[in-house]
Amino acid sequence: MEGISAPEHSNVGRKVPQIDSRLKVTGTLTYTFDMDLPGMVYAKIVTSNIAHGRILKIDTADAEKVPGVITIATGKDFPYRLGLYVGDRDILAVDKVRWVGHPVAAVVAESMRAAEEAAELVVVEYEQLPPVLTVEDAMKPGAPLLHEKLGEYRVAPAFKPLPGTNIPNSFELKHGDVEKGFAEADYVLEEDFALPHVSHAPMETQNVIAHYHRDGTIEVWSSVQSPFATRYLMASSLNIPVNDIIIRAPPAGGGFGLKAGLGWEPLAAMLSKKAGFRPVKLVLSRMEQFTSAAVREGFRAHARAGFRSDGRLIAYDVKFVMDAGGYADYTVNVSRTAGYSADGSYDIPNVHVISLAVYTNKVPTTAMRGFGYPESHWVLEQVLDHAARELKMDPFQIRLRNLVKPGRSVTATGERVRPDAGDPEKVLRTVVNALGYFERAEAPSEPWLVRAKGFALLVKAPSQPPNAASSVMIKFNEDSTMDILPGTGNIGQGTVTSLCIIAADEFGLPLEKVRVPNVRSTESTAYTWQTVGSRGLFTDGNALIEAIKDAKAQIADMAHQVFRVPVEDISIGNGSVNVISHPWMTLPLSDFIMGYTYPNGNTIGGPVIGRGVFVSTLNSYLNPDTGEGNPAIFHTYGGTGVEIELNLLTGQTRVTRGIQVYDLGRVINRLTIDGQMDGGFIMGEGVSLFEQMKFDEQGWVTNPNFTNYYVPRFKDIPERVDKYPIETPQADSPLGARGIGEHVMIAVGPAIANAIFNAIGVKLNELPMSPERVWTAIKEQRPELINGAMEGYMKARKEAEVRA
Amino acid sequence: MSFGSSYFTLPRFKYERPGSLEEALELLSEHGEEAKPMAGGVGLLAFMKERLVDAKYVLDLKGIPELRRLEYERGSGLTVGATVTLGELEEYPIVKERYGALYDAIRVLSDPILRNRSTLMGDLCEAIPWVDSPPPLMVLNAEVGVSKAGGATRTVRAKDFITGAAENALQPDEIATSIFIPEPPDGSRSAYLKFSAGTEFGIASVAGLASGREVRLAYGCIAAVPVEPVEAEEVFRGAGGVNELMNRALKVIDETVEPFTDTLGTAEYRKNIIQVITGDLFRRLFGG
Repeated sequence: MEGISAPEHSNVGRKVPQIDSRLKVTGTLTYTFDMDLPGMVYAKIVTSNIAHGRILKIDTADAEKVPGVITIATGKDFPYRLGLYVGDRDILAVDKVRWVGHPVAAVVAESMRAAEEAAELVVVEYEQLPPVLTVEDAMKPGAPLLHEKLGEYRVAPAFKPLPGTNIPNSFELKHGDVEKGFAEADYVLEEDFALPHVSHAPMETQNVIAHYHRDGTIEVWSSVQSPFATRYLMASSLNIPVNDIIIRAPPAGGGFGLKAGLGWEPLAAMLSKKAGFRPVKLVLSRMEQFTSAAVREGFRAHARAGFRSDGRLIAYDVKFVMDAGGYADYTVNVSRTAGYSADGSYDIPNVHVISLAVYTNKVPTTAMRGFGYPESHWVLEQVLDHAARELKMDPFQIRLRNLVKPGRSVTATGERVRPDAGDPEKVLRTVVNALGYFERAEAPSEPWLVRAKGFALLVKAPSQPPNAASSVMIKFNEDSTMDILPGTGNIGQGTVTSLCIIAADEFGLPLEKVRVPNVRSTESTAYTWQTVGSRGLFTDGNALIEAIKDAKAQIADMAHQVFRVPVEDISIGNGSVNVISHPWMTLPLSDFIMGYTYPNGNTIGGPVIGRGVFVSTLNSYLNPDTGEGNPAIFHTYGGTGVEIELNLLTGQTRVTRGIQVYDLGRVINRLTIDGQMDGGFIMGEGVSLFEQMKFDEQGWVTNPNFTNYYVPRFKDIPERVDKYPIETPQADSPLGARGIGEHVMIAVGPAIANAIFNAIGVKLNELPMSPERVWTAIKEQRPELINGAMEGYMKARKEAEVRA
Repeated sequence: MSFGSSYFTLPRFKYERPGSLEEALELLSEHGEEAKPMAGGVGLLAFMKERLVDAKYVLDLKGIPELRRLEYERGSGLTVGATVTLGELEEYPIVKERYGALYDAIRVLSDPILRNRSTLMGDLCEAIPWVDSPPPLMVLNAEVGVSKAGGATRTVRAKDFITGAAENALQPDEIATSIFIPEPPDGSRSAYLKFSAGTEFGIASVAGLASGREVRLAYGCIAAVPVEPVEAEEVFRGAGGVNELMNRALKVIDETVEPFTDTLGTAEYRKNIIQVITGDLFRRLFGG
């Protein structure tokens, strides 16, 4: 039989609403947060209010007296260590607390009210230890250690903790000879960069219902991205068989990396057991989400870049330091990923990177949308604009000079960029043309306003281990409707709708006949490693295509007997089963999907269940000393352009237009693409202009709420984000497509900073670009601009008076 | 050392919903400091949750008909009862027509949903440095009507109402019942401007009213209590063209107004913002 064929009525590339949009917009989609189970009770955490200390005593006597309290647990009850990459987490603090907000105890009660009331009555006695609140302090020789037992933790192969220090991962990349490169450079730029801690700010905070059954089965409902990773990590941490745990993942109200890996499931499960095998619900308040759960790490970088006078970047030496907080379980992979992606979209012959994760007594940190890449791009994409000015070039030329050439270039990890990886040059040209970069920006309405344009490029690959596997099952029903059972979670990213589109097209079924259930359940759906890294469409899409082939083979096996033709002569599509050589020989699909029944009742075949898998055969671990290897299943190249209006009097920046360009291979669902490009732009704008978690000198987060941690409002969103998908297909991806789910926010920050630099030559190497920070930078770097603006402003007021 | 948790939840309290002002005042004198009157509850409940206010009894004033009063009498002024919401004021045409500074403040005060619950009185009584209502009420010469059990009443000028950060002039047995805002002088103009960034709270705000040579100004968000720059107001009573006076006033403001530094902004940046928003305010007050 033939392989994958182009159907007559394709949904691919059209604007298709998400499969759960109707439920979402009517407010009737069930999230974990909405759920209650019979007999359910409620948990509330008790948390540390010092940054670093040894637990001497936990007094629960008063709390236990609160009517309705069932049980109170402390760290000693659950002597397990959790973690995905570096097993450094405890379920509740054991012996030590490591940040303000660290869960120390948990109360379970018949009502939320009673749990809350009792939680406040738990009294903890500590011996205070000196808090380590900055990476600088944490790396000093003799600094107090946060994790004395770092050397004993379970560590995944890709990571290198340094026991006896506060460094849970030290990554180094060596490519070429960086010092030789600097020796040959005509110009060397040296700058520091920084990013603050930010919150994922999902609408649905982390929440979970766990039911530990008396037979040892643990049933968990949780707002998670990656149900299988959650299950595996929970099982291995608690030392129980994987199939004793069932994770049910309803659609999550936002994930952004926060809900990858393992969250609060072990705590809720162990509390359920301790509470007499009753289901326990644990819901984080927004404040708890900010200060007891994980956020995106703080970041510092020191960069040295050597250029030849023609703009060629020939030596790049960077040091990244991540402020990982009290636990660095996932952040070790952020440091590794930032390290191996330091070279961005460019072919740099000599690269040296050191990338460290460092413990501090602050909120723990984890993956966040695009992790590692926002960090590395914040540095490199500004280095290029800053150097271009010194070299009397423009940002377009300098990028063109250094851009990777698919099929020819080699990345800093020594990976040859595949010929069908995409078209970075077309991305660059599209951004510059769409932005009208070389045309003057529109004149501002007032003399103290500056209008400017800027852009930045990016590349990103999924950060995953080389053996990350995916699978998909498809199952036909009596009426030839189809259920797809993928492992990938639904966090609003649109993958499942794309899977439906692909499957419907392949069988020629109307879209509404194909469905992915809303709840992913580990005991009944196919396995996938994780829902992270913009990998889902590529990995689970490839698995789906294999599953479709498998189902078609089963149908063809029946059909060739029925039609009495060779199996190669059967084609399946457009809702029917056809003989290629005799087009009039055709039967509806529904005659086969439960097995084919001859007129006399004899039946062959049986219900059609397709299974497909995907693993990458091309990837490898990275060399632990040089960082070289092949870490990526695909790279998506992209770019963001912005037009901004900057007020010199206040330092306030307003984005007036956005440009989003991505070589995504093939558009499967235009509506998803547009939504991602808009949403990513807004999120990128948020972390660039507004968002920042602030800490006081005792390590408390001073803005753990949306009043003072400002995410973009409607008024902050630009009127237009122009979107340009480029379609350079990749041979081994589903219909040629690549992921963009995270990419869409990565270049927004450097694009805005580059716009400001382009217009007034002021460098902003630290986010957020808040009005005060921008104003202060202008005052330090170009004070005459502020004075000039003030004069213009006074003059305008004088004109106003004349009019009056 | 002993510590509790780093989180708080709303403590238990008794909810009372008096049907008349007399009943409310009686409950208040009966329970003393343990009782707190509540209008919209937006500020009070949050403060209770954070343990900044301790209340065993919460007296919900929304069931008292006379506190719902919203009346305007031409030539006299506008009376706003204690439970009139910001949303209601926003929709009340005379506010937009005659009380520009108040209208501007309402428009930048949180969002439409919260404005359906928050009250002007609640915002004023909250009295933290970042609330928006005090500067406009000060320049509009508003007065707060106050009652206590037994029928005694008094009025407090808006400019005397806020006595410290999160502190107001009310005694524990008093309820602020209404705000009276006199008719602004004919031909006068008033406006309110707030500059905020990275937060809902302002870095600086300013209200102004200009009526001929009479100019009143008040700043919010820059100190523990709203600041009235009296020296700058004085400048406008002197001789000179408007432009000259404005520039002189700005200079005086720069010399006399000393903003604080907090997590939202430094004193130095606030001084800059004060110049900018005051300049904008003057354009609104004196421009074409």
